[in-house]
Amino acid sequence: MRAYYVSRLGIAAILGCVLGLGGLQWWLSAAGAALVLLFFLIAPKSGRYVVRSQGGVAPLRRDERTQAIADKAARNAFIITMLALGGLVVAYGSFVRQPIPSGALGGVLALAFCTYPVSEVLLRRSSRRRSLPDE
Amino acid sequence: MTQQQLASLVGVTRQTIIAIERGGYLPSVQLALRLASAFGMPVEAIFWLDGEAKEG
Repeated sequence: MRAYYVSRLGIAAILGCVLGLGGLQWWLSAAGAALVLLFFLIAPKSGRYVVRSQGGVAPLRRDERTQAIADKAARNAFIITMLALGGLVVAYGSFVRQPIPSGALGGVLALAFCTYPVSEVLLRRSSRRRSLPDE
Repeated sequence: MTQQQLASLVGVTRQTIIAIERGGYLPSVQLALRLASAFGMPVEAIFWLDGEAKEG
């Protein structure tokens, strides 16, 4: 784990330097590097990722349960988005009989962006809260 | 052995171990075999079908 933290500190420092050399204000560069470092510090404790030393420069990996949850959440977001889009097309094509406003399409995209994290959190909770099986 | 130690040994998160213990997640065959190996027991000693009596 020590190698992981040292390498992530290096990556955050390099990112800060790149942002700074790219013309960003020094405090914004430092804040960006700090945010990235914070993510790397929290990720192994979050229950979403495991650190695999054989992972090379990308040692954070989802385990099989978190990968299954991410897949289901992505599937849910896709289905909800398609249903919302279909409903919008049918509603505007059959009832309103007007072109679909871009704001409504933005709403569908926002729905997709919200569905994924909400679905992910609910799936994670449901798999943890189930009671012990009868023995 | 703590849940964290077991999780590190088989390469999953502690939350996955908790979910398996509670019956909220059915592990893959590969993970079941790794868990059995970590305990030094046959896989059927730690996983069994619903309604089937646990042996031993």
